[in-house]
Amino acid sequence: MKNKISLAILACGFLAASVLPAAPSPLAPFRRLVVLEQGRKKPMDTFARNLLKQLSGRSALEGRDASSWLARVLFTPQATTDDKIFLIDQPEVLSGLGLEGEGRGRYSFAELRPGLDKLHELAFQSARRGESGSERVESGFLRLFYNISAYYGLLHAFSFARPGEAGIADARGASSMPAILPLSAKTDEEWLSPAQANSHGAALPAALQREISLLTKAARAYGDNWSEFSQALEAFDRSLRGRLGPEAVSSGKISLEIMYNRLDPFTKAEMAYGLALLLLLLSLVFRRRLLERLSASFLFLGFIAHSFGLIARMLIMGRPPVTNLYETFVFVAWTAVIMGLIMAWQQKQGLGLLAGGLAGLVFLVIAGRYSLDGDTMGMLAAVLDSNLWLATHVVTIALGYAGCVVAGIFGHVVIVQEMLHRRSDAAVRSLYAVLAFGLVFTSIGTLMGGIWADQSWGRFWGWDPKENGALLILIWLAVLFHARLAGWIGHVGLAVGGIGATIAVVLAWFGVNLLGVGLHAYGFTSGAARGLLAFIIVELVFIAVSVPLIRKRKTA
Amino acid sequence: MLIKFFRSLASLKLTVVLLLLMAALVIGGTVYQAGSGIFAAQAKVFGSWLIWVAGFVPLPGMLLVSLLLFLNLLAAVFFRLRYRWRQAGLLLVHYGLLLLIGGGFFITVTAREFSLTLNEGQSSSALASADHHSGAVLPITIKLLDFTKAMHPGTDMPKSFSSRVEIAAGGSRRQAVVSMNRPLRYRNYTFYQSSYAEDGRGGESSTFLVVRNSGRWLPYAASALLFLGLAVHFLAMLAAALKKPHPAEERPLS
Repeated sequence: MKNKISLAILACGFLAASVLPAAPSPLAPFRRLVVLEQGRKKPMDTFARNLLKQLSGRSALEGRDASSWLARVLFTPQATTDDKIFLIDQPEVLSGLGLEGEGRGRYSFAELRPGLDKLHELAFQSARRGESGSERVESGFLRLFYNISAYYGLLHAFSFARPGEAGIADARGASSMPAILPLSAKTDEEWLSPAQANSHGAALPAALQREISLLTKAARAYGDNWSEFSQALEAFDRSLRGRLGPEAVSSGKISLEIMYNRLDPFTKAEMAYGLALLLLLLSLVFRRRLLERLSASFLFLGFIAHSFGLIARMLIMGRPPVTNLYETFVFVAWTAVIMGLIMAWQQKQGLGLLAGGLAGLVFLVIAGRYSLDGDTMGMLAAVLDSNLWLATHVVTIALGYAGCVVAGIFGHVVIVQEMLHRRSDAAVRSLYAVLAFGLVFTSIGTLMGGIWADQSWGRFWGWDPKENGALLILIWLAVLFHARLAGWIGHVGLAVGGIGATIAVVLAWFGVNLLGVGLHAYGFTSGAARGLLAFIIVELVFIAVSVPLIRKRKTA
Repeated sequence: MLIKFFRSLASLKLTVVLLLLMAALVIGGTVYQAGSGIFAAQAKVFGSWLIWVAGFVPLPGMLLVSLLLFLNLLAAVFFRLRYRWRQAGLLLVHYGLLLLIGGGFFITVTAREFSLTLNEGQSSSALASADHHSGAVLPITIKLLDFTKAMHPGTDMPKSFSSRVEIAAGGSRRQAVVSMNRPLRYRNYTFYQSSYAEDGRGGESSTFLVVRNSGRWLPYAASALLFLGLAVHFLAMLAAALKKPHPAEERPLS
């Protein structure tokens, strides 16, 4: 009883800490500004986070959140040239620019400025060589060039508002970021950045001119007079709504997205899963029931945060949970955690906690790495837009993937138990169950995918790499069940098969994507390919070492 | 004698061997495809009976392995599977697979793919085949009235594209819209929005993939059997798992 009460208090504390409203900030109206970027209307807060992540690999700078960083860049640009925001992870890039330094880390604009001419030259060479020559270092130059260009554009985005600088921006061409001024009530048409709009001068409609003067007022008040800053931006927001209708900008979705950004539910879930694993480990060492229960509570808390994030994304985008690669990581992690929770609740065992905590943690970490590539809520290509079969088959396949991943984890458990002479039927039974789960859902998902392909492309099956990946998983699982039935493999074989299923899933999931490496996939893809290979090799070595050891003992 | 042969064809070990062969072909074909393209992979691996390695070593192709698996499955359905209520889900799954593989063979043999490109205002009933050797003539005439595409705002990414067409069959005319993920069907023919082109002077043309397939329903029927079988089997498994009380005193994992 006492345990339960302490757990409840812990849970409330954890939840309250994350849900409490943010302290009122003069930047609130700035965060709420609606930006059109890459086809999507998003709050300035998201724009700032994605940009800062793209530049520096982080979503905050020295304890300040991305929005306050962006506001400084826009309104007091000279104060930001010493901020270390440009992530360089290859020493060759820095030395290529003729600059001194360790070569890995974050550098400021002021530090990089002496190498800009050289960078310009190298980036153009890389771009001309195109995809075929996209070595890691070359894409490093290109990436740094894009990042500095983006930053440079932002430095001058509000030049027009600063007395004495007005001419500079016009001379260099107006920065196209951030696009916050919709031209007409057809809000999906054209949005201009303040600098672009300002360059039209007197040709602009009166309402837009008034809005620009409000932005100018805000830009000048920034840092000196916070109440005037907020008031000007609020007036700007009112003006947009008056012009375009209340739903066109600052709808509930924008508020929800700002809350989603602030709560950062997936990072919270990650921490909770990590804690759950740690407590599980401690419970194995100290054999305390309480530790195991604590571990279960953290897994559950992480699950709540995780679910909140998943649902918030669905509401913000108005689409099913899995529509891009990023979301597959989040969703497979979520499914594995549910499976783990059910098992932990049903069997009162650490197995479920291990599976849920480990899969949840690993895939959320991968998702976090992947999110550095840009907006994770990007728009969809035409083929992928709104189709019932598409939505359902991707979600179903993801369930199957989760089953196979958990089977891999249990495969390790069974083998380790076997090596330590501690065989438990529960692990074998759970392994069997999750393999069957994986087979059922991968089958259903693959068939649904076939139906989708027939509906939209004219063939049920076309030996496309993604289809082949799913088929490979299915065949492998079918091999396992039939070989078990034929008596060719025992439970150790099944355990090895579970690990094999995970490898098949990983191949189908990212291996297939890696076959056609795209330009936008720099960084993650090259890192992922090596990670993938390392994972497969480690697993094969594990199998090659452990299975003969078990065999030897059995025959001895 | 023949019965005995069929009985041995139902062997589980044969199933495992064939499945492993199939897995190897899937991996090999996918890797080959990444280097040589989908059509080469189709011809050499997925649509072939035998693969000649280095000119003289024959390996079984996907068609041969599928046929053997089909026979293995057929024999299993007759001789190996046990007809009990508890196995109902699995039985349905195996029958569904039989229909899926059999249907796949039927479609491979009978279905044809064509393409049809129309400028705005043009009408035609002549189809070009995908391999440019032989065409076909539609029982109807299709006229492209209008092609439209929409972009995601502020990007070059097409949000959707669609063609409004007029179908003239016999004496009657009707209009229809073909768009991404929303094909037009007429008897055994299906028209998919495939691509488009602009001539730079405001004129647009639209290209359709036209598939003639009289076995289009077969994978659907097989899928229905499989869905049903998998659902039944999954629910039976779930019920068994929930009914069986797990010994609570089992040690935590170590």
